[in-house]
Amino acid sequence: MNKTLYFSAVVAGALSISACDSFVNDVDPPVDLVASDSLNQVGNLPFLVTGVRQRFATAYGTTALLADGLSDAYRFAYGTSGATFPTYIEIDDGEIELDNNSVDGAYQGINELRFLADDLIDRVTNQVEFGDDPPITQAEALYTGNLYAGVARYFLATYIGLNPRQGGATIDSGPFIPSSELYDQAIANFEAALSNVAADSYDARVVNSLLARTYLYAGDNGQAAAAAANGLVEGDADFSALYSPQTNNPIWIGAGPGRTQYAADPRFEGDDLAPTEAYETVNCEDTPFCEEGETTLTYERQALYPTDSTPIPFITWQETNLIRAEALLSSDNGQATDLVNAAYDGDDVDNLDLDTLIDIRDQVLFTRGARLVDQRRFDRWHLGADTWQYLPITQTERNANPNI
Amino acid sequence: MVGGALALLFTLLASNPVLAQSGTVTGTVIDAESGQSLPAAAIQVVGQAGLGGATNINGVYQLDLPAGTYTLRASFVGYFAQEAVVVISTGTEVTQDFELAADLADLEEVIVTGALSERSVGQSEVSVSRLDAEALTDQNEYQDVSQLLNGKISGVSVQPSSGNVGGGIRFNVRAGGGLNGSGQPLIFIDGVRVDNSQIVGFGAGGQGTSALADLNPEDIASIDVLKGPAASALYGTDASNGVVLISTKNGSAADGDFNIAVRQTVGQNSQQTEYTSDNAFQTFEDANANFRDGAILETGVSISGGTQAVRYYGQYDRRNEEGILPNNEFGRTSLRANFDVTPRQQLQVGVNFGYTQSATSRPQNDNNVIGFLGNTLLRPTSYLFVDSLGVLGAQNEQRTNRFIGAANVSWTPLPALTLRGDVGVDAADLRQDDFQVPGIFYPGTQTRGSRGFYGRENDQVSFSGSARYQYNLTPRLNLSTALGVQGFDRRLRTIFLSNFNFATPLITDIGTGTEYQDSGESYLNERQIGVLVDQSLSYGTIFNGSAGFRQDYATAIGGDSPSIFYPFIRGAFRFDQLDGTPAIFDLLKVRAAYGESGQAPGAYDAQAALYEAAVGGYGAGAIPNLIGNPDIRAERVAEFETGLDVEIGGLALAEFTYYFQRATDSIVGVELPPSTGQVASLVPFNVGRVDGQGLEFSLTSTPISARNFALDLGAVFSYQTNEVIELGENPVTGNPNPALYDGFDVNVIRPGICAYAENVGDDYSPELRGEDCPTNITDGLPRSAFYTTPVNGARFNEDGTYAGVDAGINASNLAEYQDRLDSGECEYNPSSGSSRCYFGLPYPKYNGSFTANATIFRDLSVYALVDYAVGLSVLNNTRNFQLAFGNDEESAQLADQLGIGSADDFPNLTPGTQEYMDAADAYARTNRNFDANLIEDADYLKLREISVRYSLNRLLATVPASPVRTASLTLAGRNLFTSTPYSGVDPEVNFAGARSLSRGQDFLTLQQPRVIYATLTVGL
Repeated sequence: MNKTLYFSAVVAGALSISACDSFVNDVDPPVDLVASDSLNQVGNLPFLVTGVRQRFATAYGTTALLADGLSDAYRFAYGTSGATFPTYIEIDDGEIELDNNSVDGAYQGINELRFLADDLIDRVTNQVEFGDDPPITQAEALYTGNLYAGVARYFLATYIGLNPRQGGATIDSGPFIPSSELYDQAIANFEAALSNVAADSYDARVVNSLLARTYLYAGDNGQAAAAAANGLVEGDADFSALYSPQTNNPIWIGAGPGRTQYAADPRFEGDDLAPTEAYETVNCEDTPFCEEGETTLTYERQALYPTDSTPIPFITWQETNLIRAEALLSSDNGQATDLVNAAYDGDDVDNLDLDTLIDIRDQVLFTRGARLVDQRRFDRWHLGADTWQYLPITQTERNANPNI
Repeated sequence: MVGGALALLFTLLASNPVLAQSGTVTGTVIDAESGQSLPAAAIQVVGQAGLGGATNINGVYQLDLPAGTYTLRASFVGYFAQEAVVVISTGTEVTQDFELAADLADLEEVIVTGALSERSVGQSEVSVSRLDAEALTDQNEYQDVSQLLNGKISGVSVQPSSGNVGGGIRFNVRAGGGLNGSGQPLIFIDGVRVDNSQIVGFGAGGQGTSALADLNPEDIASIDVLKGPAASALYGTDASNGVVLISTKNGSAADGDFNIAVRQTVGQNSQQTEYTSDNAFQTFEDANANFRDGAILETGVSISGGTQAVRYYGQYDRRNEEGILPNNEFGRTSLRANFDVTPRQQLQVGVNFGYTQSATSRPQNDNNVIGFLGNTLLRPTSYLFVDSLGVLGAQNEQRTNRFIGAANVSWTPLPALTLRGDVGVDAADLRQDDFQVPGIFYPGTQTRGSRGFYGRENDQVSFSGSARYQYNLTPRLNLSTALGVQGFDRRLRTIFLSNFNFATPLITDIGTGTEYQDSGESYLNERQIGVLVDQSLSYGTIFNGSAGFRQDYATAIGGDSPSIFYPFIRGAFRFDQLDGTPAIFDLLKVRAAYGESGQAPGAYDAQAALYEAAVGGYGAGAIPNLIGNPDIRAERVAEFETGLDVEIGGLALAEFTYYFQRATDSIVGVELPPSTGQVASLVPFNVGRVDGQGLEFSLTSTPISARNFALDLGAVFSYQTNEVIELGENPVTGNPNPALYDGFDVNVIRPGICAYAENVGDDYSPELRGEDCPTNITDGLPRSAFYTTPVNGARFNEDGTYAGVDAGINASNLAEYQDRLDSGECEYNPSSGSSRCYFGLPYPKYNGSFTANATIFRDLSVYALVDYAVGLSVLNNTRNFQLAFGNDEESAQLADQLGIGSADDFPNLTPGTQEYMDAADAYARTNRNFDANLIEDADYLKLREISVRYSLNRLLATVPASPVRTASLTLAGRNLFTSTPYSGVDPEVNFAGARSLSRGQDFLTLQQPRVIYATLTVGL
């Protein structure tokens, strides 16, 4: 009798444990989330590729906005209705606290782009099985992965810094990598992207233009000229970041009609190449920009992005021309002058000099985050000696990464 | 139709055949000392489950019983029970009166001490606080449960996140348990596990609303609070922060008793603290002009009554309340119907229904620029962000329909065996609408106008079943074995849609917005179930003990469901029951208990990574949404508590409790370095350990108890502290996890660090552990402590002029900080130059309350509650932004004196003079870039509740055939006086809502209102 009772209790206990386990596991799945592993089916590759592009668009727009805020292209729109972020003031002043959460947002976006691009390369190389008729080929996926892996490293090298005057970043919680090495990594990714597209394709010209820009910023004018020669040409469409009502153009949000926190520098007023529009008029005593005898101040703001979905050009044939022109400036001034005159709609230049080229770049590349780099490259810094010329590696990274 | 059904039910049950061939026993129950009658005193027939009744309003009872000999037991809250033997003959009436002696400890009152156990207070082995909500709501008016609980229970404080009517609340229970979850207790209403979420939706600033706002305090009879795993182990996973058990009212068992009570309240909310130039420099008048007096109107009608076979209670209540800012309104209609039926002597059935319809409108305060406070506190000129019409037009409205229903059945098939089953549902549908007026400029929206709606359906079913068998090994040694199962299923669906560009504010149909903005859905289904075992033992009235466990399971989508074993053991010894103990001790009890509970990981935490479909310019693409950890386990919290309960001579009752909590496997949301690209979410790891301990003390005393004057005094005191012991290793780096910070980098979760000393080597850092640390590992900091760079004062140029802020620890000021570096209150990393120090806690270290209740000439009662918090700090983020925008008086005046301000109202001081240096130091301490300048001492003392109540009951009793049996008038107030050194207007609020890691941060957060009201209650 006792054995029977004991046996019954054990069976009942085992069954109840099994039933409990089943009960808690028999639940409906979420409707808005999907496990990472389930995306390794080839049919989901377009979904992954779109995700990489999506993150590129937000990372680029956000970084360009803050980089221009740090440069002399924008100024904080003190006194206006939308300008409230003290973090933007810090950036405008170049006195950036390490816990500046606006910088955090940009820094996280760039790093997630780097991860997604590298992850795409890893999936299509090691995990996805391509059948006969995949919705996207392995080469196409590798092109996308390497293109944006290179772009992410280019962003890190160009805009992020360890110290106010020391560019560079870190990858995967590793030690600090100076900008020059990050540019090398970006170039390697771009070269890998090139190997996955036809040499004469638009995609290849996009990558060559990006290579040219990367070499230029890395200080290798020769390689920049060579790459630019194979880059985008007149008639090629801009390679742009795309937005929508759900994912807004960050410049429209922060320096446009969405919520103007950064206004354009007054030098762009009436500039057809860098179009602006009159924005709010404020009591100029509420601003640091009050000239003697003035009581009001009317801000100008960029007018390139009138809607929340307007694309932001990332690389264009015009910039490619300007890169070639800069690389050839001393060796072949005539060709450099021709390239510049072709690239913009202003008055033709006779003999291109560096100052003119810098000014033209200022206008043509307005709002694209290029001015900060040019101010550094050409020693045209507008703020004090101790100010940041990069967006700092944020406190969150410094807190969590023992190698920094 | 419903009325007809109820009448039929009543008729059927009233004709209970058990009571045929009966006689009658009748009598009164009175206070032995004062002679006052005791209405609603329980009369039970000992040994006859379900047989009994209660006294009516005049303290009179009547029971019809079959002929025989019975032992009657009369009991009433706050009195010792009394028993008497009566002999009933068929057709006769016997009189048996009771005179009950006061019992401060309510030793006979039965309270819930665990999922399978109920004990009388005298037997309880754990500290369980019971709140007599019915008595409190008779004396005062409460908007919600949080107000009802606050200040009443040692070890538990309830903190509102803002002064919004219908706003969110946060329970602070003991030392806070572990690190995972929301830190909130489980809440059951009549056995139904209810939703206690903070509901955000679009959010109004950082604020959500509390799901508990749906519960009408007038429905509540009592609240039992189990404060930690020592008591709550059998409630299993998620009970580590305690369990709040709310019981709604039941009808009277007085035979044929039928009561109708009508309650009418009028009142007013008003601004408690006005802004001045000290905290809103140039705009305080504009800020104060925002405030209004908000009307409160509440009407309630309740019916109750019953027989020995059926008891019923029903209530209708409607409350309308205006907040102290425009666009803040709250309306709640609640209906309740509770039935308790005893169809047979061994069978009891209860069904409780509660339905609430509520509507809440909230102003846009806190972290945004379209609200009243943001537009009148931050900048020297008001309404620069948004026009005042725009502020008024920005609206957020929320409507909820919520049903909470419970059914339970208790069957005693054998005298020693009791079976019980409970099932309940909490179903709530919520819709939130967010609106900005077209044609008015708002940042982001511009003049397009916006409209969004958010829908939330939360359905949760809880069920339990248990069997208890009692048997005696010897006449005094009683054993009781109980087995049970308790389960929970929750389904939460949300949906939202928002559009821009509306042609007119007159048509608010969201479909007329021509610019689609965003939409989305989510769905969560989670379950928990546990098998419970309890073995209890008692030896006479001297000793009680029990031990048992719960084997628990919880949903882990995509992973192995956590299976967790939670044991407990506890005992209580009554020295007052020993012969040698002096008779002065009515109660002298020592108790001790140990138990474990936990916090389950999130339902998705076991997934390595979950991706969402982010919609943008390229279509819908895969973007990480959650980064999880397939190895995640439930956090475990163990607690030991011991205490002493003493009641002396019916005059004073004191309860002391000490507890120690240890949370292991604490789930720490680790922020991976952004350079990993894993930035979508914090990643959960079982790496943390937190220790907490505290003391709780409560004192209840009735120093005067005379016929025409009685005085009850009470005091509650709590001390709690905790220490983060360990955060484990970062799985990416293999190095110790660094401290965790909130989004504003000021609230920290930090274990002990490697102390700095002057002789450390170049490779020293505070993160060094073990043998790598050349000095010693310090103590950890309390959870969520303020921890930031210290400010020393001003720096000066060579000519003596102000050069900026001297902040942080460096080689030149090390000596000043050495003690704090040694103790771990500060850290200093010479290679990076960074340093931080501890600047206080966002929750009080000591808190408590004092209550006094005086009854004068038996009809007039005066009640007051004062509560306090000590060791509390607040980060004044409002001032942070006032400093940024130039609306801070102190900063402006000091800048003027230093010759660096924009104004010239004060004479400039001379650089190099002591006066100049003092002003420069003070100016440096207004620099907003250093959070240390913004953390303030926020201790407070508040006159929280005061009321005067006059009862007309005795007068009405003299009126022959009066249709009105009872009546009372109450005049009362809430938040009438606050004393605090905090420079803002309310030290209790938190801008980031009730559940965020950001705590103790005031940022444009609405103060709690001062409330006055009058209530007339009439009983028919």
